[in-house]
Amino acid sequence: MKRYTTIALAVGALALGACKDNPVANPIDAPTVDALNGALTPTSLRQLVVGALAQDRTTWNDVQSAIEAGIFARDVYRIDASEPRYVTETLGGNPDPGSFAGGRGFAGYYTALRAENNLLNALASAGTSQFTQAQLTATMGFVRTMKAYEYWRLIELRDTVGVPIQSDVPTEVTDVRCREVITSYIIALLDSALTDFNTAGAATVLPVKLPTGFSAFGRDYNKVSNLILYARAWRGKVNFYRAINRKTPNAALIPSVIADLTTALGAGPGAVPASQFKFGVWYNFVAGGTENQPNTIADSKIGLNPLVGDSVQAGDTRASKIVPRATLAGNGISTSIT
Amino acid sequence: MKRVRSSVMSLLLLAFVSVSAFAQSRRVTGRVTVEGSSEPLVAASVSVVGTALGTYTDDQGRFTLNVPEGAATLRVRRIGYVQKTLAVPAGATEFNVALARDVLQLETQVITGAATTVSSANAATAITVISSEKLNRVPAQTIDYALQGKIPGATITQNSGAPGGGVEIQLRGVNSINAGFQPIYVIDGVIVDNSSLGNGLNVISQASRTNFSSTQDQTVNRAADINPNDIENIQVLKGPSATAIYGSRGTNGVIVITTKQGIPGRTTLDFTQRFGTARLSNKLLFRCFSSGAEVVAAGFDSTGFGAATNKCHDYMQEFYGEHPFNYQTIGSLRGASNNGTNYFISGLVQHDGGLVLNDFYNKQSLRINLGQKVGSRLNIRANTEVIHSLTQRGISGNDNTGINPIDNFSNTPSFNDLRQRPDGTYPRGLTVVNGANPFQDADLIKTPENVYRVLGSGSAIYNLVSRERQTLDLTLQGGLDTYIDHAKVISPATAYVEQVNALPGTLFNSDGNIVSGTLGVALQHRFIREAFTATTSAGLGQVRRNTDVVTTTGRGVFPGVTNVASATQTFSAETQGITKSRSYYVQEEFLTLGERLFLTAAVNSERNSNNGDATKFYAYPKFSASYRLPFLPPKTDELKFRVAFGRAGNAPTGGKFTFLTNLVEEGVTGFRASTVLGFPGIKPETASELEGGLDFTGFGGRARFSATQYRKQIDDLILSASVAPSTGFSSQTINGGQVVTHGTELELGMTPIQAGSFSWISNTTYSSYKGKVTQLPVPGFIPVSGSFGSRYGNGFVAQGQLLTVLQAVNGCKVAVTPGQACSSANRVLTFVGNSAPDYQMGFSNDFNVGPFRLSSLFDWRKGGLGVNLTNEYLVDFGLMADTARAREINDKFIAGTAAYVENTGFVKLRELTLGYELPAALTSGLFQGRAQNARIELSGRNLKTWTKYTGLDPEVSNFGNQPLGRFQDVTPYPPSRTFFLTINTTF
Repeated sequence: MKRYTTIALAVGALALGACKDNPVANPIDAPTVDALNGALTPTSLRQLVVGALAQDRTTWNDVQSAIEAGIFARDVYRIDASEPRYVTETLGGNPDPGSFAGGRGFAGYYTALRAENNLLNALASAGTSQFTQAQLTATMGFVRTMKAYEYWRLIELRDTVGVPIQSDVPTEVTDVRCREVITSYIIALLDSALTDFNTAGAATVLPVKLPTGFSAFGRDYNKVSNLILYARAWRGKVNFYRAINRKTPNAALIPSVIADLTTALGAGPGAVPASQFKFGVWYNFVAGGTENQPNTIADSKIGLNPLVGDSVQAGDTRASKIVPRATLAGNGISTSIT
Repeated sequence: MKRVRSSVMSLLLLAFVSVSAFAQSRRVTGRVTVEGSSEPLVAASVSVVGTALGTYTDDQGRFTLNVPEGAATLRVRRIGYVQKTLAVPAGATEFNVALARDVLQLETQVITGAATTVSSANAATAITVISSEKLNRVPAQTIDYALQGKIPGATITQNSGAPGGGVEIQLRGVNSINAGFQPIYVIDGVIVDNSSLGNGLNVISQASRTNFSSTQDQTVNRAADINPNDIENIQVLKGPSATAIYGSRGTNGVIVITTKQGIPGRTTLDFTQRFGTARLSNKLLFRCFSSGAEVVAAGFDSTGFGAATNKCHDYMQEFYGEHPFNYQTIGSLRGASNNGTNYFISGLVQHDGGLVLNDFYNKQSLRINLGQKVGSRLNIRANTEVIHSLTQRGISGNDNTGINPIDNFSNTPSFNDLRQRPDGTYPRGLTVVNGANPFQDADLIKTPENVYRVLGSGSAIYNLVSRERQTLDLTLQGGLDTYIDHAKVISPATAYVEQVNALPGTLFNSDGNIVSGTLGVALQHRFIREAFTATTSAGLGQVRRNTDVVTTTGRGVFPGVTNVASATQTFSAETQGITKSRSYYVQEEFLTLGERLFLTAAVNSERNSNNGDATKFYAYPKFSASYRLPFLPPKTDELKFRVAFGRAGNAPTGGKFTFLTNLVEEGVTGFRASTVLGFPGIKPETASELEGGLDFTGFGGRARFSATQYRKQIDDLILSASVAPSTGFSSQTINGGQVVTHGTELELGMTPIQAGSFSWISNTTYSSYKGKVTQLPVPGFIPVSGSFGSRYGNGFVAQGQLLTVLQAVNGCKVAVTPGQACSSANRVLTFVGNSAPDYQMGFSNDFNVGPFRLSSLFDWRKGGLGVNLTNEYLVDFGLMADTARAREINDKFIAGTAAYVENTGFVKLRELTLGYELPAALTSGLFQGRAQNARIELSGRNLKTWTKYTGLDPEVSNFGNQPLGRFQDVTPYPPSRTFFLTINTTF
């Protein structure tokens, strides 16, 4: 009988030994945000950059009934449900503290910003075993440039209503900041990006391959030398609007605007001819690779002003859904741009 | 936790002293028989009251037991018989007793913990026990069908009439919105999986307009795999007051299944053969047209009608008119050897055809249960079951391609003959945009779902201490449940419905691998004194579940090809998961005051990897008391009052992490943070239940009444909260809110007539509940279960409302005349009623006249609202037979009335059986003296439904099993009535 007692004890001890089992089950179904830090490889970095840019394109694509183009730098006049001047909009959904108006493009740009903020955090903790420091710094500059772009689109959407600046803490809701603060923040982001680019060196090439839209004017924007031009173009544009702001005009900014834009467009070899000024880095809505439908708008019509019709790329899958429209009206307001 | 661990170790150390010591005793022998006959009662328990001494009867009903000197009291009991307690005078060594059959289930052992049971006479909670006989009275495709109408407090609803299952069980109402909402199944101590995997129907129905499986796949929950014929009994623990010991899986109740085991005595071979068929039990009535000209005259588009003239076709009958040949072949071998081995081996081969050509459900299973007694102290048990099922459920439910037969028929004036032509071809459907023809689809489109499953469990009980007045047992239990679900959809390009696609020909391939493992160790100590019996148990348990489902959809497949890799375009998806949990428990049971007062206290402490803090243990306590009155009113045999409190949890199924979502740009996959923010602090939902009631037995055991009232409060609901979009997220999973449910359950069992060979046994059950949202920290919301908009009706979770409330547009702010529409701005969105039934009742009656037995079961569900969107198809296309009614519905609907919301109450004749026990002489002659008995039965299931509901069946759910809002009726698979002839013989 002692034999059985021993067996019983051994089995019991075995079961208790299971106490050593790790109680945590790490998610295996999809990567988590936490998994990014300290784990960047060239492949994962590319995936994260593409994720942020693809989100941008998705957001842009989701803005229907707007005068919109595929060129990043084009000004856009959007009349959609997230336009805060509609008094009825606040009745349309649940009030939330971050956007007293609805979602649409507003939420999408912040989703892209979250992706870019996560990316910056991941870059900050990435080691140099997979990348050179110059590559990491250059990528940070690129991500900050894209952040500046998101905020520009947001303030363009909300204008004097203002928008919040996203916190690094995912659950933190920040105050709505006025247009002036946001545009200053955009300039600060671009300055920071330019510092990164200069630190990385003009000869540095990003360790990721950007989508084909980053190849305007024959320039390859994977090269830091061209990204510097791109960031300066944005700084020139944003400062130009700050300079002519009706409420607080600032003529002192004009010389730097001229300097930035002149540098960006170029004066010597590789200069952008005046006829090409209306083009630039663009969203590619043309199907390629394994991507079958870059345009996710199913059956809505996109209102496009004929003036910017030339920005639609050949093969743009949105083409069949675009309705040329010089006048937009709805929700009590209308606009004509001819 | 170290303290708990060291306590367990201390108890184990005790085991080093294995003791067997008894006081001076004498040897008592005897025989136990069935009352009214000399038939021996095998495996009856004979024990000395007030001690731990006991034994079981052998195959002759005989027993031998060491009884202390002096007068003693012996208790004899066996499941299915009324126990007897008799005095044995000092010096007596012979003791014979006859037990009466327990037709009202007055005596049974009910579960109180992981390794403990108590007599139902002392039970402090309302636990329903269903015997094998009651479960299998009428053949059912799956176990959950067989439970319908038999459990007070359970709402058991089938999702459609498709073969193979798909049934939802809710115990004591709705207990969660976003976490698990169905009871867990425990078979022989092992938790078994009841998940539903998508079968890919959506890829051809486009119900959810994606290339993958969806919640509209008309899936089967895997409890369907359980073979009801292997079951000895089922105990249903309905709420936390009874399920606290199951920790964070106990909120929704527990269905505890014990399978048959070998019993001492001669080996018996039980053989059952069933033959049957099914018939369409209800059909939609379409408008009758005799010619294309008539169609045009009625105002329909004449396109495609041509000069065709034909008879008025009853599409429902033509399409759903199959009369399948169904069968079940069941064999089992049961016995025990003299060397302590007992065995139960059973096999099943089952075929249930559908109402549509090529639809069916096939199942085969083999179970081997082995037990071995090693020496006098060790009992080992190993149970294994291997199951295979192959289901082809056809096409039903919502669709956006015209592939659903009823959708198609509602578009097709009835003069068209859609059936196969003599040359083997099919006509194109005329009025559906893609020319889909359901008859052709039924012929060409295959939807096979193969499931291979292995259930295995093992246990070893070692008696460490065995004294006259105390015992200590160590139990080790483990088990594994693993299944592979391989589903395919083969929709060839030759089907008209495919030919409108850019890439005709669709294949879907799904491989799901689900593995669950359970391991438990328990110590149980019984301490018996004159004044009391104290049972202490403690133990630990581990559960681990791994899931991996890989699906691939292919478009543009050459006809005849079934390899998805050959598709022109493919879409792949995979979902994986790992869940780990560990629990420690300790329980004390105290039986005293002459076995009249029974007290229990227990606590289960559990951690789960799905919780935000995977290392944190959450405590689930329970306390209960029952008291049998010593002074009884007239005609009363027993009167017991009971009260119980328990807390159970419901572990989250997700929401902890912020995942990265993939997006593709120019062929490169990118990742960005999901817009759903993870909640690192997520914790289980908690259900606390207070239950009280009384149990009465009277009139000499001919009447039994039980009443239970409960209040259940669910806190920390897992909810989705909107977050500021400027954070980059749209929502976050949170804990919050509260639901309070009050319910009543009544059971009345009677033997109104018991005279000679005639008896009438009647059982009536009643239950009702109301669950109210008392706190909600987020704005009211439509549950994610799915709906088709508030104009038709949907669930809505709002503070102060019933959790099961139905919301719909029902009113117009301005007066509208008949035929006039109410504008969207003027429509009034309101709560129109409760989707849960007001109450449910079950009526079961058995009439025995000599060798004949007539049994019936009526299932009555009073009230409860549903949304009959099937009617919308008929109304929209103008093909409802009753055109005036169609117009009336439409007028009401456009005027802003909830015209598609209907009362889903019903009375169903669930089961009817007429059985005949063949005379012994005839049985002997037929089987050359080898058979002990033989029985013939004629039975039917769902033979008749009485309802005001105008759809096919009030029990349908387009979105399958759902906690809320399951009442969406969208062109379901029609219900059927089934008939069986059963021949049962025992050798």
